[in-house]
Amino acid sequence: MSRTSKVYISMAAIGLLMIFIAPLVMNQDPFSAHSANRLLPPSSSHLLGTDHLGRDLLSRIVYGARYTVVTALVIVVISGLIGMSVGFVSATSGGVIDHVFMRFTEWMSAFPSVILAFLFVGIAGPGLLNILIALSLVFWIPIARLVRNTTVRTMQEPYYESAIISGVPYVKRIQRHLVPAILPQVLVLLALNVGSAMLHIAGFSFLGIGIQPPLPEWGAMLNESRSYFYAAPWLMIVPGTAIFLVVFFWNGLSERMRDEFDQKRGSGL
Amino acid sequence: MIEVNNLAVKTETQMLLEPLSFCIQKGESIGVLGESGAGKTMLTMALLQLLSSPLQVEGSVIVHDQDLSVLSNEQLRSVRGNTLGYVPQNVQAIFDPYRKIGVQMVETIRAHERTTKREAKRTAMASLREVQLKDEHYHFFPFQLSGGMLQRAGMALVFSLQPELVIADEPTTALDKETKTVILELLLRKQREEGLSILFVSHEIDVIKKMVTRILVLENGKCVERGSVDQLMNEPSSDRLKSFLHYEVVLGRGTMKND
Amino acid sequence: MLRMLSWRLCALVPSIVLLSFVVFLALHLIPGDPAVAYLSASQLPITEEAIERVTIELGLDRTVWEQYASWVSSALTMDFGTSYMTGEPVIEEFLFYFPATVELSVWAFLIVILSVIGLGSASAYYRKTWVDYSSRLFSIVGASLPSFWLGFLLLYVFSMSLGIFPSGNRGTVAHYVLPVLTLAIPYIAIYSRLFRTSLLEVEKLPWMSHARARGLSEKTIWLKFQLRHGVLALLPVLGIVMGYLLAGTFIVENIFSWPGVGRYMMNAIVQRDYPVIQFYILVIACLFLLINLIVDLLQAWLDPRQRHQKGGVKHV
Repeated sequence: MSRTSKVYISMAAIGLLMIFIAPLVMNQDPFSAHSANRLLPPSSSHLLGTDHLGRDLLSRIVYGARYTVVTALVIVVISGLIGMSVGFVSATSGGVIDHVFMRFTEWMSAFPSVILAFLFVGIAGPGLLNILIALSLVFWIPIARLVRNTTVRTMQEPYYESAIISGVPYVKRIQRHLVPAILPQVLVLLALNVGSAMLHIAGFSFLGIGIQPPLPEWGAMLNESRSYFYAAPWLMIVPGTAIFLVVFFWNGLSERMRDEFDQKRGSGL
Repeated sequence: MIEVNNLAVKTETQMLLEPLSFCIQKGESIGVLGESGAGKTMLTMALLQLLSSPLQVEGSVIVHDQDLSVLSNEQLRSVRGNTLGYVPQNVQAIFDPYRKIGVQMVETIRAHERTTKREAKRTAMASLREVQLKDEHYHFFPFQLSGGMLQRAGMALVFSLQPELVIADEPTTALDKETKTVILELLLRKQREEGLSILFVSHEIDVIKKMVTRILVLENGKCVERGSVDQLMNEPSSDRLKSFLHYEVVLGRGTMKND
Repeated sequence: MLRMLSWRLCALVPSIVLLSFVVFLALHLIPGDPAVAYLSASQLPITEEAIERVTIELGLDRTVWEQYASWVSSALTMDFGTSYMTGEPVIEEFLFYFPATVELSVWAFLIVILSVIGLGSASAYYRKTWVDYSSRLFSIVGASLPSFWLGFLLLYVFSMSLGIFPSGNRGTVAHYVLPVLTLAIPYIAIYSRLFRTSLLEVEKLPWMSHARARGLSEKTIWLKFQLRHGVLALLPVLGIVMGYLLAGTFIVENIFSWPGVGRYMMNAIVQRDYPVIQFYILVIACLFLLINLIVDLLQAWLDPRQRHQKGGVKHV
């Protein structure tokens, strides 16, 4: 593992720690309003300033991470598990099941599935659970396709066939040949999905159909900042930067992993 | 007409083609014999200065007192095609599959000569007839031709530029007997009538014997033996060539292992 | 070619029928009572009797099949129901708002195509130079920017601080600049990288080195070989982009008060205006089918191998 990758991983760890520990040690309540402190610019007492109700922006951002970031992670884990199992089952069972699956996912990926998720949340009502369901329903499909295609391709490779002939047991074969072929690609896609899921969660909340105020979800905070756009630009800059940085981190991580796996594959030739 | 001095190809860690020197006179033809992976194709690519990093090419290739290895891309451009014609082994590697054969021939001719489209088209058609294709093949897409026809079209493309040296990398390996004959006859006739020089790469001994007077034998990127055809066929010195000729006697076909 | 076109157009019909049913069913499965939605959208008091009355009025007491059949029969006469909110025919309202969205998307689409081809080829041509690296940085940054935030930033800088462009609504050319950019930048970021990759893939194709060996100029090789094949590979992706642009204007229209379908739909969704939502999904889905069809035809037309196939029907 290269040094950059280590840096990425330690950054992720620090980020997660912050999400769960920081709210415990912070002395500002993300929910308590102080009308005297309305729209204060960043200062030593409020590092990132305060919002229109006088709430401390820093603590809201830190506390809000669990909505934006953690929800995205949960979605990615759920959709990843569903996608991998469906893709694997489809590839190994073949026949009608595989055919139906391929047709279905072809259809789904031809449509703006995220719009469907958006409509689902809109109609079923705002809230964390509905967002989770809607986005998981959309995100598993590309993963399943990827796993299915890679599995099928790997099982046609001569080395896999020779492993069958020489009597390597099923589980061992999967361990030795399938997992190394699938895992890198899936990880790259999953990292990309975290960023994408975050953008969608925040986007839904921004439009008012996601996580609702007063919860400090970053997209919802951006939406609240709209009326104070000119008077208090930090209200817009802070949550936006937070979203951007975290998404940037995940996209960068994905890109980095892709490079590393490509290199490994390249040198193996 | 071409003089190769210590031509070598390597990566940062590995020597892929050991330094090799030879020259070809006008109207002369020499053969490069070797198994697949011996470095034959790499040699042809290095001659044309077509290799790029991570491969490094050393040594000089001198054509008409010009060292190709120091020429700019634009200067190389006029040597490639015009002076040095190249016939690849893979017939699918000649034409862009999306455009008509004639269009690509005209494009190539006009890249080297200032002529009108009409004139270039006439040259292209004449070249096609020379390889026993018909005028109508001018309007064909590459995928509409069989492998043999494609290789002939490729020869037509090369000869429409009237090169002085043709580098032919296994030009007949994958072809049927008839096409093979057409192509070999054409090369020999051009040599006889126009003083064409030929660098003929092959693993087929019977073809090489027919085509060339001198041979270089490559093995693992190294020239292990060289000499005239008669000399090598009668008294091979390297083991490789011995076993090679032995196969020919035993199996009755002069072919080195090649896939 | 013509046969292929007509064949493909006929093949669309069953897809659309199936699709309309799936949409219908999906809307039934999502929790929520249309009768309640109707009452609240038309600002009537929500009482037991009112719900009962509306349920019968809207035919919600019938089975899904019956409801679907009646929806289809009126849809065939271009009647897609009336909006709960306004009582106006859905299709008329939709056609009122749609042009604004189309304008926005088409402009964004053109910008995306030009920038993707420009940026992608620049970074492939000058690969591993600062051009390539900065375009790589741009695409990671661009793909990480939340579009709503990007819109805000553009508004803040160009409209409020510098006063160059107006902040919202439709009107002069200047009104288009910021929304179109907001819509286009994320797509440019993602697809310019993709285009770069496909250009480099083309470079590895076997006939590229022969093109050099026969002494064609770098310009010819670039324009007639590499770029041409790269753009061909980009075609299906461009289709998807156009679809997403048409369907994905919610946020941009929201930020820039653009009077298009996105804002109209936003309202409909919040109000659970079922006929409107249903029609919208159907239209978007049909648009996607149509775009896919166009892409396939374009590809077949540009690829001589398909163009010369007998019968002209592409077998998948």
